Amino acid sequence: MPLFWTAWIHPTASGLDAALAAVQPLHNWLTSPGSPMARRMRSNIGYELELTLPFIIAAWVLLAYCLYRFRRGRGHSAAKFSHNNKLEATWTVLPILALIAVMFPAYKLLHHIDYGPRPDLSINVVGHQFFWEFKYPGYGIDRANQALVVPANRNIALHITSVDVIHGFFVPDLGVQMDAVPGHITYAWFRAQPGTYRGQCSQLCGTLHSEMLIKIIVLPPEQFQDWLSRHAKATGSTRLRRPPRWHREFRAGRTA
Amino acid sequence: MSTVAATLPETQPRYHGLRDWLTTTDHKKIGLLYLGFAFINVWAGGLLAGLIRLDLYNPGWKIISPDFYNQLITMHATLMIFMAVMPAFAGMGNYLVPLMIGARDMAFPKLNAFSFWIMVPAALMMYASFFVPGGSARGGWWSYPPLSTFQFMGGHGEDLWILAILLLGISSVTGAINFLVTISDMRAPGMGWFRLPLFVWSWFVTATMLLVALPVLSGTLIMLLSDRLFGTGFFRPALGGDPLLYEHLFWFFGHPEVYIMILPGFGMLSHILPSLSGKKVFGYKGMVFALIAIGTLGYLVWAHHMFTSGITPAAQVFFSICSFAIAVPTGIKIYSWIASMWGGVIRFVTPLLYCVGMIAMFTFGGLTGIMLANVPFDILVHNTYFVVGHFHYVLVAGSVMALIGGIYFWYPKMTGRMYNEKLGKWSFWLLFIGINWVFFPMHILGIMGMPRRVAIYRPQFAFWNQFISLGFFLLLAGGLVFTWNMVISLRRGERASNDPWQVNDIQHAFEWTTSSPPPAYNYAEIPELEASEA
Repeated sequence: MPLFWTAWIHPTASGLDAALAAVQPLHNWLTSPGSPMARRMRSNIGYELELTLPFIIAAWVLLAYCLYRFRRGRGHSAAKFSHNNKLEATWTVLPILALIAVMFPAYKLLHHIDYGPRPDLSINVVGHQFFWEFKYPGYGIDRANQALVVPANRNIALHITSVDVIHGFFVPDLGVQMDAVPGHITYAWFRAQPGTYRGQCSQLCGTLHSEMLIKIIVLPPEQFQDWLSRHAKATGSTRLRRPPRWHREFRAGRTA
Repeated sequence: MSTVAATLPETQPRYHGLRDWLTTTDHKKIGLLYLGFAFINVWAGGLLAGLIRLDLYNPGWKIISPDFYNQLITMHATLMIFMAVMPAFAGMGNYLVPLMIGARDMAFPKLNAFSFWIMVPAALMMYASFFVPGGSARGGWWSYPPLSTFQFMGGHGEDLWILAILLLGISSVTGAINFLVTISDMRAPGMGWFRLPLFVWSWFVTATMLLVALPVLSGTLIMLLSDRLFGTGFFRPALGGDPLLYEHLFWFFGHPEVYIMILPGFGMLSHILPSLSGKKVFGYKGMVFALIAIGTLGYLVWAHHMFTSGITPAAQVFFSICSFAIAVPTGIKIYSWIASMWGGVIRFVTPLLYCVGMIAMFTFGGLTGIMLANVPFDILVHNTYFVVGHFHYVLVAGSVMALIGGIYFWYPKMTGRMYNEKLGKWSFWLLFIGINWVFFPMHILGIMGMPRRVAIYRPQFAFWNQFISLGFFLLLAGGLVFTWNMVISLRRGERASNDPWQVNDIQHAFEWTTSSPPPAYNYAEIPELEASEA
């Protein structure tokens, strides 16, 4: 079965690794959410499933029972009913109520995702064919095709654009996904525990779309301070500063 | 009715053999031509899918170049959507709608022939695009600019793709006009709107949707073609244009498009399930309302494909609400189909199996759909394999299963012969297991973070990709058995009576009153619906 194939064809993933990967997928928002936001997003969909799964399972159970109970050969004759107002009203109104209950917390969470708290650090993310560029305005840092390094437990604001085609900045463990659209600046934010988080481009962008990986290294604040001192250029200080007021106004007014 | 035939010389085909097929304006033959066309293209699209699954078997394999891989995923979707599913439903609609309303043909028979034949140059252009320098279109079937502009996608494969879709759009719009006029004007005496068979209703709504959506696609693609070839800047930021304009315009077509692809399938289920349970359909008025509601709401959800494109929070909320809302009429239909079988005498024949399998799997596709309507969740899985899994459930497990169920159900009517029941059941089980084998694990891959449209992937995704690729062979086997059944039953199938399913014992259905296959003129005398009949 496939486990053996994996070992044979792809030497770096042995059968055991593959089996583990299948059973406990490495780092994803479901098994190990990487940020409080990802955790809330997971709870949100869990809540939705609690409200909507009953309708789905009811359909399956009724379907299965119906096929069993009313199959030909049990010596019964066909019923004649072809409508029932109470039933039809029920299966119209109940789903509406369930969906309304799902929507309210979802949109509350969405507001938090779209706007977010005051950022502690602002990064400009630029998509290129076929790599990501990260600029730290005010610190003179410009890193292309390298990891994004940020401090832990701080609100990181991402202002995203592209110089060529549409790309997608996608780091699911952190709950972040936002397209990089040329001619626009889009916005996302996150706050993470120390660790390394990976993602990749999620919007088809050409030949090497599959290879446009993202790596975010989240350092404890002191280590990040060291990193910043080593990398920041002459302009401005190497201490973390809150972005100016216009950043906050900007991120509240989105484009398109 | 040979005396009638003898006195109506114009009802006999003027030519015979190949010449007849090439020049016919008979809706039944045109319907079969559409089905044949779809058949060829579904196999071509399936071949491309096989190549995709082959390349994805190993995480690092580049047995297919990345550029060609992008052509594969683009053309797989394009062929399946525009040249398989849509023509197949158009074929069934063409064949059945005039029969079901008691008419002798569509309102505009020559236009009908045109709608079919214009697809042939379109298909030739699609296939030719693989052979021009640079290869065929490779920006996905949505073809987003700036990637699809000339600066980033040279060669003329993309231009051929655009032109082909423009021709297919003309086919769809002229076909839609034909359906709308036929259904409005040519119903038999006594057949008021609320006695219209549900498949006909489904085509009425579908045709309306085609009429509104396709011109938007055509206009948008002309703008893209102009950006590519004539130096305009509709979608090019350097010239003051906006790629997001394209996204809005495309999806304004793109979302109704997917409802266009499912509604006729819904219509078929509403005939097959009650007939094979010995009952009338449950909740006819609710079913009509649901069709209209889905057709209308389908126009208000398009930006749920753009939740992470940078649209405003207000837009996210609006489109999310409408996307949740569309679950309500869909649920009405699902529960009504179950109620249509409830208390009946259910015959476990091939068409019923396909339709029941469709309900079971489409319901799951609906669940993942309302998960995707939830914006915070969509942010986690947009453009991942979760979405690929979702739409293959609603399209393959939904539309295609319904379509095949319908082809089996009306096979005796269309060919005059019964299909082979054993082969039918084999085809069902192979496809049912294959569909779940291939498309369920895609949801896992999406949750794990694997994006779509990638030719190579990170190693943690290897297990499920290999699992899925192996499942392809089940789908292939199911497809082969279905094809074989269709072919050999033409010769060896038992001759079919007018009404092999005995539909007319329960419900008045005109197509089952005439012979199998019907004569060229359908009915010697136009049937009428009595006031007391349902």
